[in-house]
Amino acid sequence: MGAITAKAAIIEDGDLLATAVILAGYDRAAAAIQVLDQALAHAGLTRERIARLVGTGYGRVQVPGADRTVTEITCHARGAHYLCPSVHTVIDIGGQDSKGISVGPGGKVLDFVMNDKCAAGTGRFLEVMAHALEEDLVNFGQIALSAPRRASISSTCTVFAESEVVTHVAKGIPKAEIIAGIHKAIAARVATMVGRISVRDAVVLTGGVARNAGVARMLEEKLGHAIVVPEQAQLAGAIGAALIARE
Amino acid sequence: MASETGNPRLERNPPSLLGFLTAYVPEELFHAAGFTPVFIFHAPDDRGHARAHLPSFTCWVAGSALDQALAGDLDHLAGMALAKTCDSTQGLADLWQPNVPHVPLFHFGMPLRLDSSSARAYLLAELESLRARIQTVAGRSISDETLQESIRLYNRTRALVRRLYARAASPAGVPPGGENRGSAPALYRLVRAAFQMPKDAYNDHVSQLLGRPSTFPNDGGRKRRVLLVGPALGDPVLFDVLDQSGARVVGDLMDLGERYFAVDAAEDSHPLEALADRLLALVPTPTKHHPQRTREAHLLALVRQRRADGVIFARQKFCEPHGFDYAQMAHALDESAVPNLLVELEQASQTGQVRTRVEAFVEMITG
Amino acid sequence: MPTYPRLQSLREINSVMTRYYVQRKALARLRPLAYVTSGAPVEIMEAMGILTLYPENYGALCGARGDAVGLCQVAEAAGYPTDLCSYARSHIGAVKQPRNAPLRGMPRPDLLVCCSNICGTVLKWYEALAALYDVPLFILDVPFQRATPAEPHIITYVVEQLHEFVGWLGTHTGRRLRPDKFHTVLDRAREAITLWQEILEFGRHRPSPINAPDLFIAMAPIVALRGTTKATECYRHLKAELEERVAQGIGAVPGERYRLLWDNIAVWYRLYRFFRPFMDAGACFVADTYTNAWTVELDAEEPFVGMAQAYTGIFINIDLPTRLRTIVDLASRFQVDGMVMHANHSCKPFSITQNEVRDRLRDELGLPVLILEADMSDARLYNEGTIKERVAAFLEML
Repeated sequence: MGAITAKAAIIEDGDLLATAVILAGYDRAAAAIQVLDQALAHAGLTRERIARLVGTGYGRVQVPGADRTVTEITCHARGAHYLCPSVHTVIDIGGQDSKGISVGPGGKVLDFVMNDKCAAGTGRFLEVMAHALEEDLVNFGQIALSAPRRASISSTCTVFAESEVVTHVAKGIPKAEIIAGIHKAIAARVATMVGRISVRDAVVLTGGVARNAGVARMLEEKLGHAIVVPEQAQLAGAIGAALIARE
Repeated sequence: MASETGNPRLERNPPSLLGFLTAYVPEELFHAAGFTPVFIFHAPDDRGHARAHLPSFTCWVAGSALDQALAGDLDHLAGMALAKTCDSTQGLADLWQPNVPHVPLFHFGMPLRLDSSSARAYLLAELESLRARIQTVAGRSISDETLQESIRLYNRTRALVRRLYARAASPAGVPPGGENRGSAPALYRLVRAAFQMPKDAYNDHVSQLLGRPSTFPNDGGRKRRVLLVGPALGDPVLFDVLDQSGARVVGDLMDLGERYFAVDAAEDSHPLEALADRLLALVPTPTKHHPQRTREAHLLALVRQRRADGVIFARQKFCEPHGFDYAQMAHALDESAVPNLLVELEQASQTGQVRTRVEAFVEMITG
Repeated sequence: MPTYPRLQSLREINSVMTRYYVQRKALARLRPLAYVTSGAPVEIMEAMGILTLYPENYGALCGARGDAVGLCQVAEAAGYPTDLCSYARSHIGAVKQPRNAPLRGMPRPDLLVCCSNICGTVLKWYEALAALYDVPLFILDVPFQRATPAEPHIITYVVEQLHEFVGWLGTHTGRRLRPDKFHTVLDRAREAITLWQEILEFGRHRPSPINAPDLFIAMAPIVALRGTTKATECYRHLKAELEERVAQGIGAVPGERYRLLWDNIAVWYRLYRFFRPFMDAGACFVADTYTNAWTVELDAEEPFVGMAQAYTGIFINIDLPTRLRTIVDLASRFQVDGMVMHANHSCKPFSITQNEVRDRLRDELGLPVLILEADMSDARLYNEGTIKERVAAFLEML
């Protein structure tokens, strides 16, 4: 149960049966029920078949019927390990926070670092900038990668960075270059945070922002490590929670 | 304070309250003059008064004291004492006199170095100077005998708090009151109360509580054992979260925590020397320096002694001394493979954020 | 686009400082090298032939060269929180990753000397350096001067430590403090300080031949080369050049319309760029509190007592009422029309009481005061947009 989206995953005997993602909205309890129902429908199952339910994420205490709550850090590590067994570092960039997790054998958490106090380095940063530039988030990453140059954005604060973007626009800097600069800034911010834990291959990117190829590529450059973006990157937390429920 | 114990027998009525900040104020000296020293913990809410006087990058420990003072909450204090420690509290001392003139300020020059004879000589001179100033403000003299009495009273408090900590670290692990409230919140509620109550009433209260047998069953070693490092006891959310995530606090290196009560002042020597020697003998806070007696060594020893599973650093944002210390000590812990976590607290700390980090850490060390 | 006359002497000072770093690196193989804080009694070390280097100066250099942000990130990755002093973060970053640092880092020190009179951060910074380099650390504990003149027991404590310091240096370097050499160095220091004070006084002229950014460059020798003949030489040239300007009526800002006072450390990564909007509007910063900090008086009679008094009584270590009087005095004597204060994230001692200063100047002298939040070396904390607007509004107020 994240701040913006709710995700569910169903596992049977270690196999992933089904997943679902919806917007969380204001009523998190209702969203939890809804997303679980969707996953159940995809798996062709009913609620009674669920033996154990683990809630995780920002709204983990609002998941009705959860047998246990576990933090998203622990769940992301397990989920990323399921999706990519050679993982040693997980970088999760969500809508409102970002995390770096050092992962050991079996997907165990060895160390972690979080940023949940500041919008810079999270999906919110991209959202604010996309809005300021009247662009769609869907294309944002591709536009960033297409630019020959990257405008400089030095502020660590989203509000200040936005005013830098406005200044660049006023100066007539090409939009693509500004967008590239925005992606460079978020990558730099995340890389600094992740620098606090030891970065080892394989480095897996999870969370909603993982789908942004611009961020992934620039993060690779900044860290000097190849980045793996699993197909189901956004569901790592839910998958991890399901695996933990099984134990 | 009256509600804490029912009907406390106060030897001074009404008590002349002396507010203080920093961990190096010689409380006994004020007590001997008839004051009741009370620590001014930071308040969670910001009334906005301090903002006109302090830059945004001031730590809330200092900021809140000024905010409370300007809001009129500290008008009842007969004085405010600060020891020379960090730049923020030094700034607060500078700003206090022009902005809170009705509460006399006592600035005590605690030396930075704890290891030299010249530092001790200077410290004694400062204590003499402070005694003179207190006598002027209080309008009465402080005799050596009265000071000895205050020292004895404070030593009793210290011994009682040491027993509370011993209880928290022991196999039974639950301090009095912990049965209902959980071990960490109960322990720190009692430690914090030592800074907010008249000492004789506190001593009576805690002696009684310690007299009761502990009824909570042994947790069988299931709960993870955690040490805390940081400035003050001003953030109860941390203790609640720790307890709810299934960890036990088995000791701490907090400025106003275990170390504050670890050393008594000698009862058989000249009282000012006893006070000086106690201050010099304490494990330093980050703003003090002893080349041999380092915080890092003490923390590592504490980890071994208490069989700690992990260490949590709780740092106030903008606190430079604790910030630098964190980097050093976390590195030392990493080298010794001791799991550790940094929680940064600020004026409006989000409980959810503290909870996520602490829970994740406890999950990690429970493994 | 207006052009502003450049002081030739500053070029000399810049090259002296560049050579200073290179020279120290070379000499460090032959003589003991100590890292020292800017408020330390360096005259003792100079007299004992011990080389000195200033990590604070290096931190400013990192800021000026645009290397600070990258180096700070190195320190932050090692666990140093982002809200710590940016000189310390930059320098620690440079120690950990010298390949990305200006001049490929500073040479390894043999000793560390930390004097607490400027702030509490230096204690922690130097403790960190002691751990990184595993070299001896001396801490000179200078208590806060809460009343001026200082209380005798404070001076006694500092004097005793100065003697202890000499002994400590002797133990670790095998060198002695010879009285004749000591007096020579003190004389030179006094000479340089006198010249520096005279240079600062030039700001009283209308138009002022010197602007604050010039002073920020010019101050390097008085901080890092105090007690040497080089410092005196540089300042004699600068003084002569300023006299020449005054004789010809040349101002640092042609058409000087407004005279301003600057507070706190410079914004090193915007050294002249920051002041352009002011200069373009005819505003010259004729005085500042930062460069005035190196105007200590060194007593000839009792050098150790004199040093103790001088280093305890520096601007940043004295009671607020005396600091306020000093600033009001500066504002009056230099006939300023307003003040701009840099609320420097990295320097709490300088920044914490700025609002009191603003109120005093406003109430007592009716001066407009602008407070700008930024940082001395960490450019990430500098918000171009906000600052531009507020500076423009302030200039309109004058």
